[in-house]
Amino acid sequence: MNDKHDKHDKHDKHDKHDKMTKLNDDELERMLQALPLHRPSDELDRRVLGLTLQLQVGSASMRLWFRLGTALAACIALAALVYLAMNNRDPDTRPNNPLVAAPVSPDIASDFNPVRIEDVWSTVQPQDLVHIDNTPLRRYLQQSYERVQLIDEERNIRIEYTVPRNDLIVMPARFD
Amino acid sequence: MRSTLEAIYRDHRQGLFTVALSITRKPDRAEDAIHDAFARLCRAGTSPTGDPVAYAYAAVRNAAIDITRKRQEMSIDAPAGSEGPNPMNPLKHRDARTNISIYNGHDPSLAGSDQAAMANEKEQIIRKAVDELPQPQRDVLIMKLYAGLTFDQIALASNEPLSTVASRYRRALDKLKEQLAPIA
Repeated sequence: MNDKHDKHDKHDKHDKHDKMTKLNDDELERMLQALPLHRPSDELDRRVLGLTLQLQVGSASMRLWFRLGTALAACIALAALVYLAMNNRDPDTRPNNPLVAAPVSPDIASDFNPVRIEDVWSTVQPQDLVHIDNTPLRRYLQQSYERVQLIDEERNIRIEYTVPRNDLIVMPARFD
Repeated sequence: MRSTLEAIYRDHRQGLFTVALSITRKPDRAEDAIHDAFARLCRAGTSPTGDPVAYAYAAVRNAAIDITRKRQEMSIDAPAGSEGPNPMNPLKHRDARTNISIYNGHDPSLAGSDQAAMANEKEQIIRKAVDELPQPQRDVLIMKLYAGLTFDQIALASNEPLSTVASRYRRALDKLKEQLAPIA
């Protein structure tokens, strides 16, 4: 009885081994590849392709800004060149048209009677030492802002301008 | 770079999704991983120096691992040895139950027949055998069979030596042969 059982076991093992050897790599790969896979949703396409579209739009807008910036820089450079060319002409060739004040309406000019308010802020900062004719001198930088307000309350006119100013003052240095 | 990424996505949509799903085990997280990876690639803007396909797979794989790790960190670990639902952590129990295989059931055209029952049983065995492979072997198998990558590309995508990748694939096939021989 036991012998018969052993033979049966051996036969099973042999059969299994045969099947194992029969299943080669290609068959196994084909068997695995034949199984249906979970598929991604269409929403993923929208999400991912949307990203690449954003990238495209982003690149396009960056290119547009770059072109606009380049064009603007070119315009500024051209304007600067024209300005320099006009102002660096020889006095003989410069057009003889001195600045003329714009005409002011007589009514406005006669009625404009503003109150003038002036404010001045200034700071003085000591700078380095200099020697002139063997005399030690210290330079001081005076920075000032002068604000002028012209106010005509009757006509509701208010004009304000600020003039920045830098002065370099030299004073004998003192060594106490 | 844009056209390259778009082409890679269109050509490898299914492969990328299968690779991500095999790691996350959740379709929505797999899609999030692909989205995150492509968002990073888009932001990077520069073309990769090596194989762009392998680079995309590496990015998706890393994103999937990141997402899975974050989810694991978010959930509170169940006590060791507990089998049933943990009232302290219903999320983890639910997650474990709803893990999705990369395979999508049996052919619906065979539904109701004996053939369908047999096919279903066969698929269950294959699915179980693949799912029980160690993760590194399963990754290589999926990238080779379902993504159609070469061993070189798999080595680049998984940042492993070529010989390691090849031997993992060999071991995976041998293990599957052993388990699937009865149904072959």
